[in-house]
Amino acid sequence: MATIVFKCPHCGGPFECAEGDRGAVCRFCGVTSVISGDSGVHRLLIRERIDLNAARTAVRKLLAAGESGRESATSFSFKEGTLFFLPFWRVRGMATGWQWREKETFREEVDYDENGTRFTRTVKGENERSFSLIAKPLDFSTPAGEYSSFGQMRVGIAAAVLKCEALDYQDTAARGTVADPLKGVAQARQEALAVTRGGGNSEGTIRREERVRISSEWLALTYYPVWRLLFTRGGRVYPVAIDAVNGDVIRCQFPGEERRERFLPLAFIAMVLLGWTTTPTAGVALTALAVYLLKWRTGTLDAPSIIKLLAGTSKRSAGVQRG
Amino acid sequence: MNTTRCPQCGFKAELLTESDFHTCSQCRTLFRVFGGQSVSEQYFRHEPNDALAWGALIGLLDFAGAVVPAAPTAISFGYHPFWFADLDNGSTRFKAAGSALDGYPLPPAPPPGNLEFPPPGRSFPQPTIAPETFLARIEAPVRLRLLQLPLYLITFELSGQPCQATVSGCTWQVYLPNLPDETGVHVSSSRLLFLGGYIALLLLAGTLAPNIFWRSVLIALILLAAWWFERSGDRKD
Amino acid sequence: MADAGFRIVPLVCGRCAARMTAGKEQVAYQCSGCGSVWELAGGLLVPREVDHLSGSGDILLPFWYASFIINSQEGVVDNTMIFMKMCGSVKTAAAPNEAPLVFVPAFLLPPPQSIRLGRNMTVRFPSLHLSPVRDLPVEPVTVAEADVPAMAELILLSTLVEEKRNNPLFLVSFSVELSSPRLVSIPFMREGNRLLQPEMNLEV
Repeated sequence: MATIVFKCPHCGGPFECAEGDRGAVCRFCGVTSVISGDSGVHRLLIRERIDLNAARTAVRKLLAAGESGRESATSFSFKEGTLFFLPFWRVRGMATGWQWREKETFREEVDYDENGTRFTRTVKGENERSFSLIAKPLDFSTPAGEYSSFGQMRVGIAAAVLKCEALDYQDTAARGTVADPLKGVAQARQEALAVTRGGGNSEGTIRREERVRISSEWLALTYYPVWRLLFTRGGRVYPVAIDAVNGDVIRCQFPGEERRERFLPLAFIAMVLLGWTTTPTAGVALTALAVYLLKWRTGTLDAPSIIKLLAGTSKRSAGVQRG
Repeated sequence: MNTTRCPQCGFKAELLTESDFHTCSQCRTLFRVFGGQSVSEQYFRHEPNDALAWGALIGLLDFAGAVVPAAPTAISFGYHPFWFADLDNGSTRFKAAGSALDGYPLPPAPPPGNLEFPPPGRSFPQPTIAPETFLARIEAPVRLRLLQLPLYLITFELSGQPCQATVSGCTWQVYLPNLPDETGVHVSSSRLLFLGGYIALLLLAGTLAPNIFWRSVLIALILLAAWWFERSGDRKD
Repeated sequence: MADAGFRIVPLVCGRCAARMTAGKEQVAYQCSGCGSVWELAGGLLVPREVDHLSGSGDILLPFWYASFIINSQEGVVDNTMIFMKMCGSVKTAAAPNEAPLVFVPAFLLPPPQSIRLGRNMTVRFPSLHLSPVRDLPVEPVTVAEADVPAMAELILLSTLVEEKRNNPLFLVSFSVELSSPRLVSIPFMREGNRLLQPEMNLEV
């Protein structure tokens, strides 16, 4: 469970409480205070743990670990980086309600045909109806906007184990872009309840009625830090998203290094022309040798492969992709 | 006297003037009224940079393995209005409010970023799609916003076919339609010129050389020179 | 940016200004000086009246209770007699025409046990003999008044006879109207790991 740090209203000392707790005792002055979130939605911040340099290093390391290694890591230049604080809805509480299901049932029945041969058949049984009360804890996180360009972040897990603090907008906005939530809380609640309802075996269910709602709700917008870096190579721009808490590269699309055969196509042409400008026999012999070498090199003798090799079209190693 | 509700705080506002622009007496938000519907206008701050937008597009094409075009046919930056409604049931609706984007791929949702109210004196493109048209199939919007998105509209050629792409100025995310299938082998004109010159030189040396020894030496020299030329060209790239 | 939503409220009794203490899950706080109970609502500490049930015991467990009306496709349940019929009880109600009461345990208990205890109390139709202020402290209140309607609905659904629980039309039409809930402390006796209420034949 996340720890939230405030200032004690009595002595001003740091005052910690676990996410969802309603009260705690200040360890400096001993006064108990309770936390009210009724006036709005709690806005919590998970502070960034890596700076821009560490984020750049994380990308370089990832590139260096790729197929093209060091060559790839040095071929991309860093252009710029921005820290984003992305809001995520966090819904905690108790999902309470009821669920009623009607299921089809089938049973195996043994029967005999006119020749007396035994066989089994499947017969539809009586529908099975079940009623259950739902009262289970709920802990759900969902992006408060469309963040596909940033990749997948495991904010729910992070928010449950990391220290959060009340969001100080001015201070946070001075360090990066604080994104606005563009998904309503009702939508987050619906998603949370859908996850609650999703459990259980629904095979054979022909009708389902339910009413589930959230009680003891504790609602927060958790702002999660993500670095957005731009790398360039030859005028091309490659955006990268880096988790600013643990330094993981969560989204990037770097193409592989181009590998071009330089000498071989020139040598083949020279060999063929040397033969044909000497004698026709030499031309035939050296062309046959060139064809053999081509087959050995490309593994095929189809025209596009040969044209690609002779034209010096580059081959590319596997790129580096995340998210 | 006409009344409406502030789209930001919901406070009842009396429209005392004929102007489309009003300030909420409760939260001081500037909002507009379109046909009786109160709308708050917000925008994402952005410094235009065409080179970065084009770079983001060719970076994506490069990663996808497409033949990267050398330059765009056209590139234009601008703010584009989008309707964004928060609905009673908690969901949202998002749609382009203008026709300038016709033919360009559209962002399916607003990008992440800091939404700001336009400063006094700053004007943005006006919506050509009326809010009533946008809200026609929507029940009970709680709040209607006009979001001004910084977008780059790029036209370019890919495998001889015209293509259109949109790049978001907020995150440099590229919105692309399906790329045309590339068939055949693409050889650049400079490469063809180089190969033509190389073959011509080889033929010349092969026919003019007095014997097999000089022919071999000359052809080997031309091969080495061509190889050196190509390597130095690569290094320059 | 909207209001950050946090308000940190020092726990000071609004009647006698004594400091109060709070556990992690607690939502209502009892002043050890004057015995008044306060709950945090809307960013403020608001007083909650607590009734005390007479009887002997060495621990006082808090419950929320409220009168209710059930609306369903079968009609309105607004007195004890009709409610007894609905939940298949064969007992004779002491006050058949009075509004029935639902009890929601207000102390820390896992949800299934909380529903079972609330159900048992509700279907036993206890007559409330209230006593003056008790000298024992009431166990911490961990269920907020705002969460009583949801728990009360579950408890009332659990009292239904099986025939009704298997009827989807009845379930969909089922809704509960509650009066304003009040807290009541009920004395229980400790017996090993169990807590017993002999007059109502309850066990926790």
